[in-house]
Amino acid sequence: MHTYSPFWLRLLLALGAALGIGTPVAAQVVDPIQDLLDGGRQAYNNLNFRAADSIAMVALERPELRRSHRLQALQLAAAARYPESAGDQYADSAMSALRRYVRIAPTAPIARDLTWRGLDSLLAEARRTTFGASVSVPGTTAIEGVNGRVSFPVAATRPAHFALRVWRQGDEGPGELVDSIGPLELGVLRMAPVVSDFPRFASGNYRLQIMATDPTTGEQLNHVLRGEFVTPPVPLVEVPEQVDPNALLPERSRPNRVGSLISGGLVGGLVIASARLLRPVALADASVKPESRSVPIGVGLAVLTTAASWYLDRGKLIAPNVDANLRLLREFTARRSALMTENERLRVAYRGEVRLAQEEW
Amino acid sequence: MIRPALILALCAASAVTAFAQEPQSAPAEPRQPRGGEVRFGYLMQSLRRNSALEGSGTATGSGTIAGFEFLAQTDGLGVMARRSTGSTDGTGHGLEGDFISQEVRLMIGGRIFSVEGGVLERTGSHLNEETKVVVWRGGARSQWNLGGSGLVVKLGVGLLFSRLDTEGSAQFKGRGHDLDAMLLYQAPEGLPLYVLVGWHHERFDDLESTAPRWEEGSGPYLGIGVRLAPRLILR
Repeated sequence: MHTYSPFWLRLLLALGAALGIGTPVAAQVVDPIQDLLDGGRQAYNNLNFRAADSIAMVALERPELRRSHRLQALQLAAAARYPESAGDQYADSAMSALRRYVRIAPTAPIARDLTWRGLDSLLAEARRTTFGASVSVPGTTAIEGVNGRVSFPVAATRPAHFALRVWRQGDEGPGELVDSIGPLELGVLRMAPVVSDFPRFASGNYRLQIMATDPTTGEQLNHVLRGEFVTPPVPLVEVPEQVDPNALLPERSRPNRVGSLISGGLVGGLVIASARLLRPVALADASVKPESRSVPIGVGLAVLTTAASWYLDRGKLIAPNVDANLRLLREFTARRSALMTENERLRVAYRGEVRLAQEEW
Repeated sequence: MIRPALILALCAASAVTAFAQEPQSAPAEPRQPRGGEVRFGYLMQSLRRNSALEGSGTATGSGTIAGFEFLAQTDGLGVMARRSTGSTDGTGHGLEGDFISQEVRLMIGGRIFSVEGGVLERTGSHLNEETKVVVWRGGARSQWNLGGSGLVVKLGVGLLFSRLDTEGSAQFKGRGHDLDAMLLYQAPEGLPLYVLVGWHHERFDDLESTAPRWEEGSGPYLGIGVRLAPRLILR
């Protein structure tokens, strides 16, 4: 490992700052790590590879390092350790930096002004032998409509399983599995903040984890995000599912059991009586017997009339009530349709927001 | 004359009773169906006849008659036509032999209750002698639905007055009455079929001839056919 003394570091930093090398004035004020890295890039361009490597290593140890800084620092370190001049090449050391680089940026190239064919070959070797994965953090996503989604494009150096889990801030446990895909090298994880017209995650702060797993080795890489969800309830109006049964009128009268009995008795009685009471006296006087079949047939008709009516009568349809119920159903259907249309409008008009900030792998 | 009148009154009373509905919570009061009825069907009756002829004792006969009937009735008017043929075996008094019956009736009134008048012609052949009886009939009929079951009770009574036309012989007069009690089942909506089962009884007295004669006939009958009528709907 090549290191420089603090004296030389301070000197380089002072020189870089004084000359304003590589960065605008505004950036120098707000991003000292970027200033440091720009100084390292300048040292590399001046063929001072040791200085460039040392600056990269210093930058990598800074606690406030962002992902973009880390990527630049690792590129610089790898380039400084494996330049085109054969005497300055340290392949193993460069490979170490490239593996770190590939783990968090599996598909990203090295900046054109830092690389050359030999370093690209080392990068390809690092990708082949190292499991790395990355996710593109969408930053702020506006949720437009209840079907709005937040997408997380993911990539890996080899086909991997990806899973997205969400925890409410402060919660422990396994979290809620939101989506999973794989195995694949490139894909997109998706999160629906609203499911079935209800916010899946109420407004608040969350922690999101995207875990990449190498199915061959079982190696896992976790990417943690901080999220602030603004997901108000979907303001839907209530749509009744069915007509109030108490509002419906009975559509049939009650079966007329008494009428059945009377009718059966009347029919049977008339049959029996007719054969006895309506016959000529002369025939009775002559001892001609009345029609013998009248009794069984009369009884049979009485029983048939009563029983069939009893069994078959479900009551009479009451047309005014049927019409009134139909009107009620039509009105209900129209009102329900209007409410559903209004809800569709509200679903489209729904707005939410998911703000994401990334932490390190 | 008193008995048929009583039966007629009984029919009317029974109809009123049968129409009465049990209390219900619906705001609409159910009523009997209104509207017309058209019916065409086949009718078959098993007939038994008894006869007493003064000075000649009694005779019996039995047989089957069958034919077609047509009925069309609105709330105001109706017409019914029926033609049937058959033959009976008998023990005398001309009860045996073939005969043809043709009848036309006109009805005034609704389907629930109507008065009717008509003419019936019976042509019989016995021992190569053809006999034609023309009967004038007046009566009443009542019918009512048994709830929403599709069953209809039909009752009818009538008074008969007749003339006998016999080729080469004198005419004479007679009178009598008849009764019909019938249960009709109308198939559910969309299937315009009906079946019916009933009982027919009639009596005929000829007291103005030189040899008074008394005759009765009765028996069950079955019918089936096509019927267009409101079945269940209450308006």
